[in-house]
Amino acid sequence: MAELTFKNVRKVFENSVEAVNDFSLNVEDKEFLVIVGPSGCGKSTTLRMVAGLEDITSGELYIGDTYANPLPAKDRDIAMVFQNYALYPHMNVYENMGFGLRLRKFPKHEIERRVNDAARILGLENLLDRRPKALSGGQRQRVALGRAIVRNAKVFLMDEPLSNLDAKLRVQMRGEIVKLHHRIETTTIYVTHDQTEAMTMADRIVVMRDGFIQQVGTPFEIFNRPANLFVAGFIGTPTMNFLDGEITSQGTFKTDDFELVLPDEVFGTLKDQGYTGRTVTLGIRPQDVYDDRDMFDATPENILEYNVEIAELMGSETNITIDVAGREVTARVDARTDVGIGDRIKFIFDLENAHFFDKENEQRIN
Amino acid sequence: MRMYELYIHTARQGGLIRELAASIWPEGELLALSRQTAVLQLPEAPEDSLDAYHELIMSDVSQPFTIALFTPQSRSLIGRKWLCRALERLPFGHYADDSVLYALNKHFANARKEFRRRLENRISKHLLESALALAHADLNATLAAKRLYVHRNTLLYRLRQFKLQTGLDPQRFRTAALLDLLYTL
Ligand SMILES: Nc1ncnc2c1ncn2[C@@H]1O[C@H](COP(=O)(O)OP(=O)(O)O)[C@@H](O)[C@H]1O
Ligand SMILES: [Mg+2]
Repeated sequence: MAELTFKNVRKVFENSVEAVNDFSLNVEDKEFLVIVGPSGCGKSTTLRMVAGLEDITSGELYIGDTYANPLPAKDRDIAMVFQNYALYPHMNVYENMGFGLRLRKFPKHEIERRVNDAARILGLENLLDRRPKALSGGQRQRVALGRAIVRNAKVFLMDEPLSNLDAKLRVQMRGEIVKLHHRIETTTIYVTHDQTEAMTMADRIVVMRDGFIQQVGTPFEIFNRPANLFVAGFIGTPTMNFLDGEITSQGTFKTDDFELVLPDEVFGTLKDQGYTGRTVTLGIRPQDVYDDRDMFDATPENILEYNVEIAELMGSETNITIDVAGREVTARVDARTDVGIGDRIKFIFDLENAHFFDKENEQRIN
Repeated sequence: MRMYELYIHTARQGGLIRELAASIWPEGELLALSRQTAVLQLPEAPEDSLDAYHELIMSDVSQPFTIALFTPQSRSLIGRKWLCRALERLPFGHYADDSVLYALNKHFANARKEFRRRLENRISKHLLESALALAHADLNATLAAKRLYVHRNTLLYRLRQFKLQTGLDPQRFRTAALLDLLYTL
């Protein structure tokens, strides 16, 4: 088990692509940390630097107390799980799982013990004689995990391990990996571009964009207090709605088409920060837009009425897209709400749960 | 018989990776072997992607290495020696054929000459001219056809022939860049 520390880690490739910049972070012992961000933002590069598969251009990496920059990959005691779950085609499951240990010259009885332990944890006991060809996608992925588990490594690194599975299996394996982590408690860095995976699996999330960390926090913090416009838009489905408007000295949020009275506390904060008279971006999650079914004590001035553009029944909820004077606003409402395309709908924003961002630097206000 | 060739290049401890490759492709025959690079001849294309094999081996050996695959067509355009040298120059990773050719072209004048000679021996002038025109038209086939005074369908036919005869797809960016470098430098 081990802690990991990054101090201003930076990676510049030979073609002068700056893949990772000023990456500082402490990963705690036994933590399940998820790095999430769009494709190309530097997630894999970060992971590969930890594994020792890429040199660190500048900054420091510590594994436990050891300064790890100069350590060769094979001496880092790290196990990796990748997106592809190819296995050695001519070996059975047992041999596939034990192969890494055999290469490392472990005695036979130790290999046997570890492979059997891992097989039990992963429910693979009955498949040990099978060749990869005779396994389903999920079973193969489990063997790939098993190949990492038997190593008893200090740290697990997983790079999009579920991306090649179909949607249903992905959800199932998500749960299995989390359970597995509870059981063996190995410090894990898990990389994904899928924010749902990050939200459901992580102890803590690191959101990255263009090589820079945008925010580090628990899923709760990231969801409820996104640090900037990018994080706010990246995390959560359906995507957060954004509207630009002016904060007036009367305590309202004013656009060309409507004006909303802000709750006292919200206005107080904006005013204290000097935003009166300035344009800001208001962010509101579709879950925080209510139709009249849930509009108990709404301020009457704040009730808006516009046309429905799209209505998508999602099961227990309906996502409706409303045409608010040319801007699209998505609301997630009760599935019993009977609305169709073109209908007029009354709705309000739950402004207590609104987010405000500086229009220039896109940072969260407060 | 036409064979695939798989190149494996490592910084050190090459023996281990060769052993691994042999256990993934027992049907492969070892063609060449230096301290750092092994070349395996395979009767068929590997089942999984290069990415997948690279990750599989990586998870067992924990050390940087490169794996590259050449199709029967593209392979014979260039000498094995040059391919080995190109691989040594590339950052560690996994490559399909044309990205190695691209790098090779960038680095070695002699290899470039050799490559050009073999390419010209293999295909007709028209095909080469068509592929080059496409490259110079930023992959815009309509524009390339216009510049060559041929019908767009004629051009597309020639591009397909080029691909069939060389294994390089002139409609891919990398090939276009490769040709561009080969003939404009
Ligand atoms: N070996 C390399 N040489 C040059 N650039 C690279 C290399 N590997 C990755 N990059 C670039 O670095 C950036 C980050 O890549 P990566 O870490 O793979 O992103 P992610 O895993 O988040 O999709 C990308 O712009 C990518 O093109
Ligand atoms: Mg990646």
